[in-house]
Amino acid sequence: MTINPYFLSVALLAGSIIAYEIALVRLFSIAQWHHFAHMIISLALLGFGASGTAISLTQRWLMGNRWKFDEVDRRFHNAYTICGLLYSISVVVCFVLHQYVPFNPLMLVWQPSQVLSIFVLYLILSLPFFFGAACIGLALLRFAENVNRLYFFDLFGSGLGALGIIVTMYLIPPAQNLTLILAIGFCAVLIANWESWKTRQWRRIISITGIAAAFIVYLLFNPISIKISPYKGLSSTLNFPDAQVLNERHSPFGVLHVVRSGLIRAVPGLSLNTQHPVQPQLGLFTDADGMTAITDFSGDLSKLGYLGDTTSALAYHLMEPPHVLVLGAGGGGDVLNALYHDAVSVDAIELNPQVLELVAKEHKDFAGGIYAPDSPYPVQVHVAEARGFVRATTKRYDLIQIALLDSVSASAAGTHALSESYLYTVEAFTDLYQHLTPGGIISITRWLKTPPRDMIRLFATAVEALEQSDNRVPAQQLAMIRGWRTGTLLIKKGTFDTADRAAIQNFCRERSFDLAYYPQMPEVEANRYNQLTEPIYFRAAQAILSNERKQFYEGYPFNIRPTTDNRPYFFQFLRFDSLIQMVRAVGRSAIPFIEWGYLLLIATLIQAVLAGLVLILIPLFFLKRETTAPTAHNSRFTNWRVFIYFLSLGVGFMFIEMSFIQKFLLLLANPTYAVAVVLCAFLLFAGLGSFFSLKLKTVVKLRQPPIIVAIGVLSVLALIYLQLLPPIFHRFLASSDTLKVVVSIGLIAPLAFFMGMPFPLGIEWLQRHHPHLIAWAWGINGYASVVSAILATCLAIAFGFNLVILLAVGIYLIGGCVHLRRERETAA
Amino acid sequence: MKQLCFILATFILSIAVPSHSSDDDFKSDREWMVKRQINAQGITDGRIGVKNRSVLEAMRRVLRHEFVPDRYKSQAYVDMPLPIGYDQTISQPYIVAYMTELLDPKKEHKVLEVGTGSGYQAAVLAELVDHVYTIEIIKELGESAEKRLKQLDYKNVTVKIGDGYFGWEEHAPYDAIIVTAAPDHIPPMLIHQLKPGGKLCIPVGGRFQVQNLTLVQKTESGSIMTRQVMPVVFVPLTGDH
Repeated sequence: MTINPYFLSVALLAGSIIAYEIALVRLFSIAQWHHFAHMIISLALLGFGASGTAISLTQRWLMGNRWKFDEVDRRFHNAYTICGLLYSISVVVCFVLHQYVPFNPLMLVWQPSQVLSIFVLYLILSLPFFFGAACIGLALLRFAENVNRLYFFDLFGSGLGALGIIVTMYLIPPAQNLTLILAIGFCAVLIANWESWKTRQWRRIISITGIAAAFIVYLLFNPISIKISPYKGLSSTLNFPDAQVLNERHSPFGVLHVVRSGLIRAVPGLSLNTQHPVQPQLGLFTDADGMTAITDFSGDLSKLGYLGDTTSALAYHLMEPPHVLVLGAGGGGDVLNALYHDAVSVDAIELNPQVLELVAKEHKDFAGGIYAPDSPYPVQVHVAEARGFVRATTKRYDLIQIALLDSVSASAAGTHALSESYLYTVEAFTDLYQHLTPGGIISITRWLKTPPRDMIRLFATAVEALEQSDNRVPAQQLAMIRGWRTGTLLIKKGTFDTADRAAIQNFCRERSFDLAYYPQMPEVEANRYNQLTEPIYFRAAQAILSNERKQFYEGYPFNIRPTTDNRPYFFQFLRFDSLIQMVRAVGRSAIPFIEWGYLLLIATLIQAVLAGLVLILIPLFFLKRETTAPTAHNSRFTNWRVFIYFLSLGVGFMFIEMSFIQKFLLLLANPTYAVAVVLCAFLLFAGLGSFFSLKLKTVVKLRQPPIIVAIGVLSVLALIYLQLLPPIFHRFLASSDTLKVVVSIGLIAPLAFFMGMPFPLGIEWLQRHHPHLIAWAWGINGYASVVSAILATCLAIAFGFNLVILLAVGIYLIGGCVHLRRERETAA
Repeated sequence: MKQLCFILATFILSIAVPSHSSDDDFKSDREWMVKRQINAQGITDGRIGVKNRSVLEAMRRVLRHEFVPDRYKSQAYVDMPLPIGYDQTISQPYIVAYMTELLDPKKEHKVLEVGTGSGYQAAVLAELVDHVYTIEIIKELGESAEKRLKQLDYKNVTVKIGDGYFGWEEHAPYDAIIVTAAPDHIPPMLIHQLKPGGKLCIPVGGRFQVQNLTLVQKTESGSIMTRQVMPVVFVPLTGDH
């Protein structure tokens, strides 16, 4: 069997496009902030759909006279080559160019002219997607009769691209991935010019190779640099006169910088009364922000006295020297805190292996070898995702500490609003609770926000988790304190007795921390040292524990309802009704209360929908003239049915893919690998589904059209998975990583296989009946994918992932119904 | 097309608003700033306005446009933070005035400022107190602030280049301390250098965000209390709570 060189070229391009998208998200997260990355890249992806519009408008010229095959081939070949070259070049050029756009997202509120910069960024960054997708769209138009194979190569390439970029992120610095993507783009163009090799058109070959070589050689000697926002933590720290970057590491988990400066001192939650000097520290930055400190530890525990004056030290005052589990070990602050309090053993869990390596090896002497394999201290480090580790281990702990690793500014700005966190959910607290020894304590520390949010939601989540277990008395099992910047919540497996309460009172009095809640606490003890206008935390705790909980949730200006695995957005507190009232009441002064993450998501959705609709509708005016339908009335109906069908496929696919990625995160634990495995499996098996889609009818005798069968099967599978996945995951949680990956792929395979069928079957149907609509359909599918990715996040935040899956099934079924009607009418 | 858009956007963003030729031209801007953005009587957007007459007068006197880079002079009296180079910003006028009022400055007071920046906050304080000691970690910023303050004839401001974490023991104790950058903890030495009855004000929030303020008070007995002070009154808007 010979493979069409264009198909190979499409596979390479598709792989490099998805790699480019993932690389861009990483680069933006380093240079700016993640939520802006999400918005700008989502909008830039509209270039994908715009390519469909452009091809629709130019297809008459492109395809020329259908009977003159040479002319069609030449035009198609030239257009493909030019778009491929422009794609490859723009991958790098547009990234470099965008860094010169004077855009400071933080100024957006103050300087409306920043909006112009955003639009310039959209335009620049959408170009690579436009040219790359144009190549695939052109191939789709040219080889519509082999769409099943072409789409297979498209998805197969995408799957490998998603996996490949995760690997290369370990091997080469983030910005240099763009050079690799550029090189792959050029390779794709050369492969597409296979005929030119065979027919010895050396001028063309030499031209392409020359351009490619010039760019690659230039970039090898002049590596692309990232301009990090001057307002990120790393940039500010590097302004210190003695600041020096000691190490830099990169991986899919982020870019790490270790900075030395005598001015670095990070002790979240330190009491104002402390008399202990803070030890020298190194700053460990992730993605140029979110600093965690590596502390100078000589082995003299008495020098760590200041750690005992933080809110997170409370639990140690309520127990004998404990066996401790630290979730989110980072630079080691909480591990040192445990050692300072004579912990019998410490299991330190950290997701990023490079963080552990830096502390354990590079800065072993500075950090006192706390993470080293030959550590003289009872510390054992584990590279794992916190929730996954807890579910897999059979050990029980006296104290489980959830560390405070995110930066305070990120927390204040609500930049995590779009990030899922499976550590602060009802189910997570239940898991942790089950791993406590009798009398053991879970201790969670968070930054305090004004007005209060985080700690109240933590309290509510803990209450619900305790209520769901048998024989629990939440009112007796919880304690909460706060300093001026941090608060700590304790959940005890048992009740806080009189001695505990006295210890909590003493601990807070000596350090000027405020009591927010403990069993039978009188209000008069609240809000003494760090005064708010009223004892909000105390009253919130009382309300949550009372029968008025529901009214309290509804009346509070922020969303502080407990978070669950189905809606794991702990950091999303925004309530639109309150926001509107607040803006009406106080105008611009409402700004400090706005969490930008969610608002930007909504802004992104609105922009994407508007831009998408405009670009989708434009070709309709021109396509009218080309329709083969006998009447304008029929033509309009056909157009709308094609529109709804391909829209539903784009939306349905993305909704299911995104929701199941989230669901599989719980099984696979490690978010980076989970996304890579699940995304890759989805794309590869959908590719296989596409490959076999046209054979479906011949292999199995079907009473219904293959599209209906495919949609029916995938809908049933999605609904079954909704019920079956939780028990299946529970069964395999403690299994080896390899087995978990195999199980995940096994579960994804059948679903993805059938999800890969409706698109090529739809294109094949168009090829037979309305070939002039193929490029338009490609564009619609592109827009739908972009918009639905944003919409899925919005819906998941508001209603949870289960609803997104149900909606996806409904949307797929609508697409199926539309096709069925279309098919019957055509047959009639 | 992309080139056109880029050039157009760059052009629009870099358009220099016609600059004022003399300080007198800014006087009306300053008056407007105080009246509309700072004074309690003029603010209509729900914020707590500044009532202290001497603070308002100081805000009227200090030439804010001298403390911002030339390209931002035209925006000097707009109520927004502005970049001043070296990745630092000058706080919005409202925050400067509000923080100053919180410290309750008196003629005889000695004030320590940690984070000189361009020197604007120090100049406002210098209008109100006996002496301002200010520390800046970034040498270039500190030196240019010192030069600027001298040129503007602020004789009661002393600038030091150094680490503000340890305060300035030599001139301690202080009646008030103002920390212009929010660390994750308040340096113990600063608390130590505060007089009994003294106040320390620290803004919490990132750059370009409107910041919530924390006021630390050292009682006559030496105990420490903090108070969250927000630039707007937080009134729960729905329900009973």
